[in-house]
Amino acid sequence: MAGLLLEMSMMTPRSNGFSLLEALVALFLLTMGIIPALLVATASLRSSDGIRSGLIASQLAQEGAEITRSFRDADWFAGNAFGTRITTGDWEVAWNDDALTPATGQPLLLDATGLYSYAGGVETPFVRTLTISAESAFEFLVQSEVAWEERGRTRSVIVESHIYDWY
Amino acid sequence: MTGIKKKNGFTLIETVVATFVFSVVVIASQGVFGKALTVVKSGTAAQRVQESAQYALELMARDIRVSSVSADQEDALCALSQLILVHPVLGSVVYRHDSTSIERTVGGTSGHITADDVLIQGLSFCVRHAGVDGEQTRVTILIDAVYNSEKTSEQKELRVQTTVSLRDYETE
Repeated sequence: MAGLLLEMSMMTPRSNGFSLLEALVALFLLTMGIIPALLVATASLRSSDGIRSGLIASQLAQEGAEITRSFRDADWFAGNAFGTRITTGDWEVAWNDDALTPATGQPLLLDATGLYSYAGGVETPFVRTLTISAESAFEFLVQSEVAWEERGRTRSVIVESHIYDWY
Repeated sequence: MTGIKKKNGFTLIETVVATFVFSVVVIASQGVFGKALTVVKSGTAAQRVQESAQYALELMARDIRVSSVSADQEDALCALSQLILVHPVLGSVVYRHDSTSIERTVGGTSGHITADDVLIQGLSFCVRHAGVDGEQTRVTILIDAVYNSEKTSEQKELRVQTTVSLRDYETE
């Protein structure tokens, strides 16, 4: 194309058109305008993916706190002392469990029904850990954390719940 | 005739080359813009699905938390597609999967609580320890949602789950 332009310029010795250099600069500027636009669009999709994981994780974290609360209630109904089924430490629990089990760091599995549990299914990136500490003789602090890897970075959602012996 | 001999117009070859260069640039940038548009669309679709799912989960969790659940709704297999609650203020509150959305019925009046452009593929409930068994009743909610559009290829399914422990201390 450079040869063609050269030939043309020899045939018509004028200089009031666009040179190849000018055209290239214009193209470069146009590209500089388009690339950020594409980057912004890609970033918005990524962040909506991140929000999606955050939504699933926060609901799973909330689930952990709710199940722990139901164990406190069960102790009341059974006439057990506060803290019989809830004790300090790092724990795991599935939606249908009736007791806390020591934390292993295993990820939750998603089965065909749509259930997140440890029973079976496809491995998800979500790891749920319940950290229970005693604030006093009649108060537990439950921190239900769901952590997951997202593009090489670890993200997590923590739901904090204070469980009292008020019954 | 001197006016015709003037040479300050474009030659045919110049016009052809200019058109060629212009079309190359336009086609290249059209591809980029088209891609950007698709990305923005799927981002918006994902947001719509998330908004609807989150709203529905929050609303259901609030209602379930304060209500009581009858013993006959016990379901450990999560096959329950309809949940009947006895709410202390609203009375009977029913949640069910209405083919494409989630329906909430209060006092005989039904309404959809998810947006029309969001397709609820599945809604099911698991009920554990309903009735008097010395354990607090727990309800697990499962939602499977996608964006309601013909272009299903770029769809990302949202499967979300949460469990609510009832605050019902009189039934047990």
